[in-house]
Amino acid sequence: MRILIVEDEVRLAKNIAQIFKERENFAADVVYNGIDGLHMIKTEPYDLVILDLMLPGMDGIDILRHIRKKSINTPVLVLTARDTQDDIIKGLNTGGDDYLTKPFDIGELVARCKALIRRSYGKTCSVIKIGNLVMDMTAHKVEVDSKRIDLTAMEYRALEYLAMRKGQVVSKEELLEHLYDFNWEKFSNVIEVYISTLRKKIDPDKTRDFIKTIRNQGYLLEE
Amino acid sequence: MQSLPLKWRIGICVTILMLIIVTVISIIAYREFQEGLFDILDYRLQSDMSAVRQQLHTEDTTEEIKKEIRAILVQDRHSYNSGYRMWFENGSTYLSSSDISDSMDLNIDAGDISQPKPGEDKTFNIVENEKAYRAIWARYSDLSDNLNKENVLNVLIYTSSDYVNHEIEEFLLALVILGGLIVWFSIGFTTWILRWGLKPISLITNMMDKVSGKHLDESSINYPQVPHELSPFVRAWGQMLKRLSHAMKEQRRFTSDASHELRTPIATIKSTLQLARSQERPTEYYKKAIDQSLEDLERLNHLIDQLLQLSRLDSIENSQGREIIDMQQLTSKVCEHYSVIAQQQGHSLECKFCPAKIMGHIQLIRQLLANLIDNAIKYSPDNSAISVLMEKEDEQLKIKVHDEGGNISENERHLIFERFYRLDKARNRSTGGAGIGLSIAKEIAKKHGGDITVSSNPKNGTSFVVSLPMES
Repeated sequence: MRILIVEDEVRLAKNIAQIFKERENFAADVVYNGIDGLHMIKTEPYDLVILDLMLPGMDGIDILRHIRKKSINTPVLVLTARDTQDDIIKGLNTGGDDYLTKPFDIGELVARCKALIRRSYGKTCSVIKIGNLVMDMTAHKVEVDSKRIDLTAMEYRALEYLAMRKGQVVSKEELLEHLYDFNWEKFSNVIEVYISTLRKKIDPDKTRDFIKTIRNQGYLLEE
Repeated sequence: MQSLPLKWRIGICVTILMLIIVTVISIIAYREFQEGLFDILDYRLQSDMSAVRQQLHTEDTTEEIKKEIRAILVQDRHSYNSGYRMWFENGSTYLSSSDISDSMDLNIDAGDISQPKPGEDKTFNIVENEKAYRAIWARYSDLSDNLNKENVLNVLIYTSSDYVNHEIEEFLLALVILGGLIVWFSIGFTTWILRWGLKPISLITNMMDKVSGKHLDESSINYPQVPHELSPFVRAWGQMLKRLSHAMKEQRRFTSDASHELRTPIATIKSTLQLARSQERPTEYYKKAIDQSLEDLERLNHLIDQLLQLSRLDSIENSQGREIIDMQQLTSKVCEHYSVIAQQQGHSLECKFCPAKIMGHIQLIRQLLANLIDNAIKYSPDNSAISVLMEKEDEQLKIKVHDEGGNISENERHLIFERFYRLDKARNRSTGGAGIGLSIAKEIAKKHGGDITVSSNPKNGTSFVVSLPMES
């Protein structure tokens, strides 16, 4: 999963990014003003945007209005110090998916963000089952035949994204874009390495083909 | 105590007025009617009397006269409640209606009535056996020879006035009923007129009821059609709302900005600490988190100080705790303090003083100068010069703080003194404050009867000029 944090308070923005990287193993990009924020949302495929309202350059509400007009449906959590009912209603009506006021609890922020991401992929439960493979996205663990599988951070990210897109073909480029933040150099052959180690870990006997390769299209996770 | 409603005030006034008018008219009408009815009665009595008198002067015999008189007086006497009596001064009765009929005999001696002069007559009211009579009494002395020439003959003709009195009573009753109706109608009419007249006010009241703090905008208020006399009121009211709306907007902006400025550092501190606590970390990490949190707390504390100072400024009485301030001394002290800070940040601070004294709060004036110089240092480009210049101009002391930085656009010049207004919103918060320094400075200048103006262009930089009234 890859998220964007648009927040002008540099330290706060960095803290939020660190929370998601450490606790959720997400890729997180940070921008400190509205103009950069809008540009990033328009050009990069984020799974979630955390948006402050009082931003230099361009107001958060304007960003929301702009992206919704352009039919960009990325879930947006509005994170702001404004806490009047009018502000909340305006934030949600303009296209925000959730609203959290500062100061916030990091646990609550993470839980809300994950719920928004799940819902945007049509999932209501944080546990996804693919045959005997059980992925618990709250506890961050993967089990096959009730046996825990240890995955590296990147392997987990890749599997999590494929699980979210269960039953759909995910291209290498798409996978890449959702696993790495903006500052990483992206090489698509890295993906092939991750997928191959992932396959070995979740299906050591090669009896069940969880992750299928669709030639010239990408990968497909299904039962 | 709640005062009497307008409806009642006007209603009572109108009712009293109507009552007086109706009463006066009724009294006049009553008197006229009574007088008219008695005039008719008197006319009849007088015409009888003159007929009797004519008979008294004929040369006929007493018996013939008596017969004639009886004939005259009987022909109109339909009621037995009437009668006549004629008697001589010596007491002998000449003629009486009771001689021939059972009609009563009126006793005028009982009713203290002064006798008329000889040859004249008088009419009067008399009550006998609880019955009212109208009577005419005449005394004749120039009688014909056949009568007793030497004697004076009294003639009394009377008739019942019961009917007249009854008519008068009925008329009075009619007057009272009519008067009551008029008063009653006038009350009703007045109430209706008042209600109709006050209707625009109730319309305005309805409109006012709908106004709340959230809907003060001109657009959301439908002004009702009101009479010409009330339109200045509605207009004044609308203008008041506009001012209120502006004040409310300002207030909302202030609250929103204040909450943003206060909550953001709290959110940063909270997230920093929660993050540090979330897993095992090296000691260095904890140290850094604590240092950063302390820094944020310092910023928060400074902001709270500024906010408190602003609110305290509102409550400071103008004349309280003022003293004569040697501005040359004060300005040089502040400049000395800031020249070190300016040098540390690579700027030069140049100051020119002149002797001047003002009346004011020394702490506040020091704050004002500090805020302006601090501001100049913050917004100066690297390695540039800042100057503080004091000069006198028409009883005013002008202190000009100049820096080479920035260009404040025409539109923004008045906004920079607004609380929390920040010119460059993208600027780093760690160097800049929350945007309260200038509004504090402006408030202080105003408290001292002065002002701050700003001029700015990209070539010459930005100048803030404080003008303060001097003490001679």
